[in-house]
Order: sequence, then structure tokens, then C-alpha cells
Amino acid sequence: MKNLLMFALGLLFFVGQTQAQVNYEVRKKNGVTTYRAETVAGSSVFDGPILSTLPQGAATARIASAVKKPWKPEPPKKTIDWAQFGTGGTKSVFKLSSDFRPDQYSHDQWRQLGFNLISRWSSDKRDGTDKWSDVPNNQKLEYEVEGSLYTNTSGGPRWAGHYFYTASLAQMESVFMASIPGYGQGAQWTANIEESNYWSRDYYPGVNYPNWDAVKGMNIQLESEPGNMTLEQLVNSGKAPFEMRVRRSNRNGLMLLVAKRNGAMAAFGSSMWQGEPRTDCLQTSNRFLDEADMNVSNIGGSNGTITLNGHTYTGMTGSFYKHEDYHLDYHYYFDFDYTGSNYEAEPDYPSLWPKVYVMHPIAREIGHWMANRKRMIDVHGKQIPAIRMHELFFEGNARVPGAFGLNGTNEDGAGPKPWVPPYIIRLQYMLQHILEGETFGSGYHIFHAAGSPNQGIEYDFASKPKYNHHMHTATSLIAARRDMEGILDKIAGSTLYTDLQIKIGNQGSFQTVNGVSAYNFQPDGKRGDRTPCFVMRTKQTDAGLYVLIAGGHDQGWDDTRTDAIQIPGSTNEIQVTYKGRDLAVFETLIPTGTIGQTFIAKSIVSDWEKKGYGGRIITNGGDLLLISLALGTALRRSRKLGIRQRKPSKTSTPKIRI
Amino acid sequence: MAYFIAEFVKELNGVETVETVVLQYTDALSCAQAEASVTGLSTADTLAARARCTTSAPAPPSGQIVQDRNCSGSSADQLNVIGDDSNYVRDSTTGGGGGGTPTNYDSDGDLVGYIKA
Repeated sequence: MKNLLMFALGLLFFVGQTQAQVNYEVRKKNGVTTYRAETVAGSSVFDGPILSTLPQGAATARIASAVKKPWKPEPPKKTIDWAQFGTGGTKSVFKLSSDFRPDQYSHDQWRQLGFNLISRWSSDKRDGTDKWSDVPNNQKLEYEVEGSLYTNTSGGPRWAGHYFYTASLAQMESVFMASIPGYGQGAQWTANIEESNYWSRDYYPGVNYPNWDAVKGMNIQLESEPGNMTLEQLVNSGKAPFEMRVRRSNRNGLMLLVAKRNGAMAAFGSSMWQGEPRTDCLQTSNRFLDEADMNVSNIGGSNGTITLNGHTYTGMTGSFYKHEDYHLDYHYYFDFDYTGSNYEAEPDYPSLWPKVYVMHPIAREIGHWMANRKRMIDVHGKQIPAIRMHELFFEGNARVPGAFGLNGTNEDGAGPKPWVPPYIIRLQYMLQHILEGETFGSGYHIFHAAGSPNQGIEYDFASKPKYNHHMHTATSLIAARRDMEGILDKIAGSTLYTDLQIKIGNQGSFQTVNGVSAYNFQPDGKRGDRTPCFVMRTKQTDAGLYVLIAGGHDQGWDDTRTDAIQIPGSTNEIQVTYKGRDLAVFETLIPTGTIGQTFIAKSIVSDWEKKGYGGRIITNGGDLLLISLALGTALRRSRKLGIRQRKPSKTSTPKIRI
Repeated sequence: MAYFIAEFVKELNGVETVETVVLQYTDALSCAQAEASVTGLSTADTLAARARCTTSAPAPPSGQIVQDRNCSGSSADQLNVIGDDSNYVRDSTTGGGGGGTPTNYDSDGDLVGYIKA
């Protein structure tokens, strides 16, 4: 009966009960204006019942709507409750892909969760269903590794390393034609090249490098200048480094052209800007592995055109990156600082994640993206789409605390690598989506090598001991996707601003801040003070200027601050008040004709917070939670379910780099 | 999981609308009890109130009211799940790079402003 009473009271509240002061969001659709109350007073989340009449005593408010829908981290370990996100999929053209896919999910079920791009590594279930060949081109992501890319069809050594660099360009064309599937329009192909990025005498002998004495007399046709040399002559001439650069550019450019031969989009597979954004990254033009222009004039080509094995390729001049149709932003977080007192004693992720510190990930993401955008413009004269790629875990060799009880469960005999806190995956995904906009070819991809033959799909997920932990990092990605779903139409066709006038701490004067300056990582490796950082999208509507703003600061989970951001091209500003390290995302409307006004964006609801997590968290289990929240403390649930939380250590312990 | 869906049919400016409230119910509140309670909860402007229980759809977050903001669960919403690019306009001249704006986004409508009352 108690629940029935709560239900009745709750419904009464939603169908017309009034409070002293309630904010409403006003929307207009198909000519009909509706009003929605805040779910919780002061939350700036407007999930209340839809009303069609203006509430009595209404007055204009200059506020904003928080973009966050409720999601519930699963209480038990190794439990996935993705049914909470429904089956509606996504209508976004921005791609979402994850190699991590437990094998109980079919392709269709995966799509229903919002994954609209399927990697080859997460295709083909063991029972023979969900074949890669059945995936439509516009949902295909091929991430081809050197093992297949450099296959030697004659059975000899792979065309990697020594063989990659000493082969003629015509030989490599044959290799690429044999190994790279000719995907059609809409498919996205990229490479994972790790063993053939450099060529040096010092590599002999080694993996992909035979005994030097056996090959030093090998004669090759040079590509950086006319003529031939033996490998030994090349090394002794001092010309080997430049020859390597030209050959590498020629092969990489050719590889992209071959991959595109039937209309697929191609990306080289490395981020042009490597590592954290440095303060000079927007002034410099250096690009990863792009140290010499393509040049085929010494091997039979002319003006960048060359015919190899009967196929003619053009544009073989300049940067090999110019043949990219999209960019793979491959930038993994390597390690983190542990801010607690006893890492090995942390019992589980909900306890660990609040103490995992990564420096200003919001500025890092924005700054890194800007560094690549600058290089795209250098190469292409315009921005091209980008897929941000990350893993569920930190790339370094740290392992989960011993108290997790997972030692020895990883494939390498150690414990698994620690998964990144859920809020980081959330902000990476949402920022990439906001930065890229609704752009076909752009997206976010989780790389996850689970073992051959299909590296991503998790056969026997349920029986693998290494996954006996909370899966919230993966769940938060789906939650972030759903958060974006309600604003897709506003992102489409909007204008992005990355360099905003910000009044830091809402004090002093406005100053220009972007992700690079906010991260403040100097070229010499010194780190300056970080600042808050925001990006904004605006779109003109009939009612005024729609504004979407996202950002945050490198502050503690218990810290709250306010920053003011000027609406570009106007005298209006938005004051954003936010708590913790999560990405703050708000939308608002600046009515036409508004001058010199301040709009307040604030959404701090302690019941929705969880350190290490992002978005609107349901920390309590059970029924009727929302109603109880709406009715206030009198009806607040007394029964607490859910994940155990521990207060972070209040002792001032030194950070430990993990 | 099981859900209790209450629908309140109202007339607003000559337009019939349906307000939907979705709740997860537990053992303490049977489906029959929930259904029976709806009529008594309707307000003066309610033309009709109806309720049903379901174990299938829509699947809201546990314990949450999921109203019709992007989550109506209507069949129309299910038609254009991801991968159906037939509604997207693509630029076929860019060798697969393409682009275009979908025309079938779910939309809450244009944000017009805010009021306090």
C-alpha cells in the first residue's frame, strides 16, 4: 500500500499540483506550444508532464536546460542492464562503434542500442550469424592490421618492416590490391600500422628484419632521387633517412588510394597530432609520419601520376594525408594519478574511480581535436570528418587493484588493465559529437582487442573471469549516446565555436579560451595552470538563437564554480555553474532582440551525482524514484539500494602515478 | 521487468493529446491495482484515462517516469533505427566522403524559451 500511496501522490503532482516556484521549458512543435516543468526544482531538467496552457503567473526566465537523462549503473559486477536504454537506436549520422560487444548481442540488438557503425572485429558470431558481409557499407568500419594488410600471398615473410621499405611501389600496389577489400561507398576503412612506421639499419636483425649481411647487397631503385643503390650504399651515403620518408609517404598514400578504389572512405589510422595538446600545436604544422612529400617522379611517374600494374594513380604529390577522407583520431589515455591512500586495497571500480585523476580531460579532448583540425586545414584546405578512438581501459601497463580479485585473469597472466572512469568515456563521446556535429564519416570508436579470430566480440563473455567487475564504463557510453539523441536536430546545421570569450570564475574581464590554452601544456613539457574550457554551437531558429554549450574544469568532484561565457556576436552571456569533473552540457534559447542579458545554466542535484561518473545517475534502486524526488524529502525513499560508495580519503596523500 | 503505463487523454485547444506516464511496478503494487487506480487519478480536463501493464515496451530506466520525450515507444519511432540511411541525403559526388542532413530526427520541438510560475 505504501507504494500505491506514493504512486497516487506522484501522479497527482504530475497532473497539476503546483509548487511555489517552478521553472518551465517552453517548446514549439508543429505550431503547438507546450510547457514542461522541471523534474526537480532547480535541476534544469525538464521532464515534467507536458502542459498546453501557460501556467498562471508566468514570467520570463533566462535559464537553460541540462542535457542529461537518467541512467543506472548496474549494482552487481559483470552485469549489463542496457535494456534501460530502450531499443530505439539512433537517428544520428555521427557514428558510434565499439569492438567491445558481449556475444549475446546480435547486430540488430547492437544497433538498437545506438551503435550505427560495426567494426569487422566485432562482427561474425560464433554460430555463423551476424556476418561481416551482411553489414551494409554505410555501417562498416574496417580496422586492418599489418597481419592482413601486408600478407604475402606467396607464403614468404609479410611485407612489413624491411620488406615494406625495400619492395618497389609496384610490388606494394599488388600487395595492397590483394589485401585491402574494395569496399563501396559509405564504408570506412583504416589501418593499424605499428611495425612499418620507420626503417633503420639498427632494426636488423629483428621481427620483419632479416640478417643484415644477407640483404645489405640488395639493390633498390631509389624514390627520393634518380638511380639505384644497395642497402649498404644507401646507409653509408647518409641518404637513408630521407629515402625512408619518401618511400613511406609513397606507400601510405598509395595504400589510401587503393582502399578508396571502389568508393570507400579511407583514413591512415594515426592521429596527425600525437599526444597531449601543447600550447604551440595550433601554430606548428608537424604531422605524424609525414616528413616528406610523396614523389613518384623518380620511378616512372610524372606530375604525381603513376601507373602500377595497369592501374593509374594520381595526386601522388604532397602530404599522403591528403588522400584521407576522414581521420582516425587515435589518442589513448596512457596512465592516471591515483589520489587515494592504498591502491591495491580498492575493492571495486565504484570505490576506485573517484580517485582516478586524469588531467583536465575536457580541455585535452578539445585541444587535441583542434590540433588535428588545424592540420586537416593545412593538408586539405578544409576540415574533414574524424573518428575519435579510445579503449575502455588505460593503455599503459597498470593493472586493477589486487583487491578486485582479478589477478591472473587477463590473457597475459596478469590482472586486467583498469577501465577508465565512466565520466571520461562520456565526455570523450559527447565532445567529439559536439565538435564534429552531425557529419557523416565522423564518430567515436572503442577499440577492444579480445583475442583472435574476432578481436572485439566477446565469445563467452559471461564465463570470462576477467570481466568480473562493474561494466559502467561501457554503459556510460550508451547513456551518453542517448543524451545526445534529443539535440541532434539542433546540432545539424549549427555553427561551432571553440574559441570563446570566458570570464573565468565569473570575475574580471572576458578572455579568449580554447582547449589548447586551457590545457596549458608547454612545448618544453612544463605545465601551467589550467583554466575552464567550453565549446559552443549556435543555430538560428524562428524564436531566436539556439545555444548549446559544453565544458568544464579541472576541479575536484566536490568543487563548484561559475564561469561566464559570452554568446559570440552578441552582448549576452551565459553563466554556467557546475560541480565536479563531469562535462556540463546545456542548451538554451536567446530570444530574438535580447540585448545584454545573462542566462543562468545550473543543474546540481546531489541525488543524481556519483563521483567518477557522468550525467544523471540513478544511485537508488527500486520503483517510483522520480516521484519521490519530485515530492521532496518527505517522500524520499528510505531504502537505499545500489552500489556501495565510499567517501574519498580526506587525508592529503601524495598522488601515485599508475 | 514490468511496466505500468498510464495514459491520460486530454483536449487542448481542440487538439486531443495523450499524456503518458510509464512506471516500473514492483511486487508491492500489482498490475491490477495500478490499473484500477488510474480512473480515480484523472483530473478535470481528462477526457479519458486508461492503463495497461506490459513486460515489453518501452523499456525505461528502472523506476523512472519516461514520458514522451524521445521515448514514446511508438511504432513510428522504431521505423528509423540506425543503419537505415534511406532517409539521409548523401552527396554522391565526393567518393564516399559524402554528407548530408537526416530529415527524420526525433525532435522535442524548437526551444522557445523559459518561464517561471
